[in-house]
Amino acid sequence: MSVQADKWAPLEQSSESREKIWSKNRTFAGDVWFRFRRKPTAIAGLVMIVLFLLFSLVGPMFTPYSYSDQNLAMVNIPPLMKVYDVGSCQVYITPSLKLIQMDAEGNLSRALSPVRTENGKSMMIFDCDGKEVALYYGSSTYVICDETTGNIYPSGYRWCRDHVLGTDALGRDILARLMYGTRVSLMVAFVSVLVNLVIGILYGGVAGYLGGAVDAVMMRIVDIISTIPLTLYVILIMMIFGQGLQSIIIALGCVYWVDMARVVRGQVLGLKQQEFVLAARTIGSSPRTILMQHLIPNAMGSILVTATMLIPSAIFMEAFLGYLGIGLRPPLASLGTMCNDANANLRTSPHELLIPALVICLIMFAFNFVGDGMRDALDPKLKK
Amino acid sequence: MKKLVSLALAVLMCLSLAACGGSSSGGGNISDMAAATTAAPASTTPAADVAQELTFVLSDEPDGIDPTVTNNSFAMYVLCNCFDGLVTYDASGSIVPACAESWDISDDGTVYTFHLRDGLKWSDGTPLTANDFVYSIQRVLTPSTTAQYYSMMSDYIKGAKEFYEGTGTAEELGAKALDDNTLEITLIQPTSFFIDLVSMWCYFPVQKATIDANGDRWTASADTYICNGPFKMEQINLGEGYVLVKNENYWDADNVTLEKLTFRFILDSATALTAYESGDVDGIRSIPSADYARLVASNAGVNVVPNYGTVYYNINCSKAPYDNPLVRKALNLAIDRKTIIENVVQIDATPAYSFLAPGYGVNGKDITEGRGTFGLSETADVEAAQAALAEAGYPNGEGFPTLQLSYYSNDTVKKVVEAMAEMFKTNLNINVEISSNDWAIFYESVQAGDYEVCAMGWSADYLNPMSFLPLFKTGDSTNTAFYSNSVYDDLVNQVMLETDAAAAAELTLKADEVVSEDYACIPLYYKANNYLMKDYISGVYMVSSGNMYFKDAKVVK
Repeated sequence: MSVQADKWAPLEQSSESREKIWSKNRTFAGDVWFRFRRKPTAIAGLVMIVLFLLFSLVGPMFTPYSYSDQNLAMVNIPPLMKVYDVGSCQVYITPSLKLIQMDAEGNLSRALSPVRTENGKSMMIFDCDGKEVALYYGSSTYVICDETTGNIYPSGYRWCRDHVLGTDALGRDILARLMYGTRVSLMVAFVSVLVNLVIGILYGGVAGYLGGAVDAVMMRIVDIISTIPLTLYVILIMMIFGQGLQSIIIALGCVYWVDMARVVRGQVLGLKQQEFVLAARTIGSSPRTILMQHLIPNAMGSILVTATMLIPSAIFMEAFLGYLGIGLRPPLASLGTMCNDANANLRTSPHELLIPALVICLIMFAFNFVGDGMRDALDPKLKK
Repeated sequence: MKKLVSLALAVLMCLSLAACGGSSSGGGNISDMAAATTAAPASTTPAADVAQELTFVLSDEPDGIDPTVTNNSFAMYVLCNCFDGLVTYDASGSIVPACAESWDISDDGTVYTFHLRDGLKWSDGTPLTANDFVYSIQRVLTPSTTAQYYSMMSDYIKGAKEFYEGTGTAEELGAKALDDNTLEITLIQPTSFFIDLVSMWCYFPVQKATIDANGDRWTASADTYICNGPFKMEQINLGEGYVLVKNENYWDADNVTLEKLTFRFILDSATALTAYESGDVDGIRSIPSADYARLVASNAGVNVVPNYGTVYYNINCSKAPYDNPLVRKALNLAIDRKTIIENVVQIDATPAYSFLAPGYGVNGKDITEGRGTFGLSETADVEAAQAALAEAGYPNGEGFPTLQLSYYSNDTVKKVVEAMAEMFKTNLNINVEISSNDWAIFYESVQAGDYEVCAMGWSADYLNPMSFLPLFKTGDSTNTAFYSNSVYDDLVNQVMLETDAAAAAELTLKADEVVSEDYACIPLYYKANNYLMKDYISGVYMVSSGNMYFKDAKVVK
């Protein structure tokens, strides 16, 4: 075994190499992103949010329906339908005992009305492209059969092609309404969080930095605001500004900042005792500079985390208000109003509630995951 | 991560399995299905000794069962069957004598003299006299009773308002017992429909003895609940129901067949339907709308009774451009009533072309029979609607201001409003903005005239067209459409004073024509009540005020 001598030569000493930080140099944001993307749930949440944004902003361009188009002949159509093949055509039985004809491609062509009813046989006779078929309602599951022989036509499940997610109680396309609904919900979330950020940071920052009597008074005001139920604010605000999106955003903006203010105040209270604040004060920085340049940036971690956590709660609040019926002006849809509208038909058309509720769930999951990831990524104590 | 992927795969597989549409389940025959699901046991045993007992399910609990206090319609089942007023309704909806054998009306139409039957008794066997009726009227007019229907007396009976306010005495009150069998009621002014008012349960007699002994608690136990109707209280089970048995002291007890009548509360209508279909109960009051079509189709015993009420939309006739009858005509023509009834509300209702509902009969014939449709039809007439709008100065909807359509928070109303808005938009090419509010706030703004088109509805308190006519009379507090027409006002005043029913009906129809040809509102459909009753029960009837009578009920199995 031979050893090269030059490998054993001492390194040249320089102050530069002694001071060099050998770990990879990253900016604050880069560092946060590095730790954020190591968490699979956080990345999944982020991807979901992006997908929902695309769905709600770009999606409406790809659907022929708008959120308000009604087709009262095709109400409460489920996405997956049990259809009977009667030879010349395929038919679906609605819960209100009507027949809807489906063409070969899976598009709904028209609603049939009964030609006559045979009460003795518990049958309703429909004319299906010249062929008479009987709807037998004598048992709990309705079937399509031949009138004379009583033979049931073969049936199978088919997806509805022209309304991929079905239609609601007024025959509106659920997919189209879902796109607009998601857009409204996300907008409510982002706008109200933005308002909360501005008010909450300023209010909490001032209270925390000034302290003493000012802090006591300001925080008691916060206490009072947070003890009055949000529903009450919303109703009162709706009285003044009228029904609509603006009222909901104003209501959420009015109330949700109190949590943010508490968080910021707590952070500032702790930070302002530290030496760098003393140093800034010594060189004559104004309180404004100290607050905006030194304290708030240091508290940014908790602020961002609180903000991300506020987003799902704002979406849920909007859904809840819509569910109570004090939200948007119809026919505008949000996820909450869609759930609310579906409530009455829950027993016969559960898909109308299930689909928007699922989307609310997914959005909440996504934002919670991202919030979780942000908290871990921004917390210096968890830094390894 | 791997777990997640496999989970996602599993979900995908489930979905794709479900998506395999072609896999059709084979035919079969309906006779197999009929065998599997045994139909409700239709017993064929002969009638002979069948127990005369009936159980009827109610879906709401009343707030009280004191006829002098409540105006809650859920109390009606107990009140109309435990008590008997001066007059009542028969199965055809006409007024018939009850406690009063006959009555006279003075020539000027202001004094009503009721002649009571001989030997009327309370359910405890004590005699019932005209003084009991006077006491009951005084009780309603005593503020401490908190009678919710007191205005049904104070607005009509002479001295009643003063008595209620404490400025009048019992002597000045226009309700007097001339002797044990004669009751005299004096009115403020001639009121042609007073006899219809008297059928309301606030005019039912209540026993002074039991109220003096038990106070407000007299309705709390079956022993103290003294009544005078075909049935008396046997058991009061709070939150569960009432058990009524035949009252042997009822004046017409010989003609009451039913021995026991049970009202049971089942708040969830789907549960009630299950009980009905398994034969546990004989009838249920509210039918789940999802099952309605099937029940009607299968002859399960659905009874549909027209309700004396109309669902209509108010148009603010005092506000431009809605003060123009042509605009109102266009709005009326643009509505597809059939679609709204069948596909949106999904009920069995008759399309309405006038605010005046059918249900009031004179000489056994409904007064609205043969009435025209005022140029309207079941479906929308888009061309005529656009023509009317063009004639009003808005060809193809151009220049027409955004229509404000307001409604009160209610799921069904919301659906109807959204459907109507879309019809206005597509059929008239105008913009529509929808807004909603809680009923109290909504109604306040409607009364203030702060609306353009709004959801409304009217259910009559008593069975007479006069409960509808004030809706469009100038200056009336219920005239929220702010319609004003002196011809109409004159006609209504004439109806009010006309004591002959046939002549009043004729005037009523004339008045109706004036309003309906002016399209003062958008009538949608006439309300209807429906309930389920097994076919072996006969004689139960519901009148169009919603009152349900069991006194002629028979079980004929």
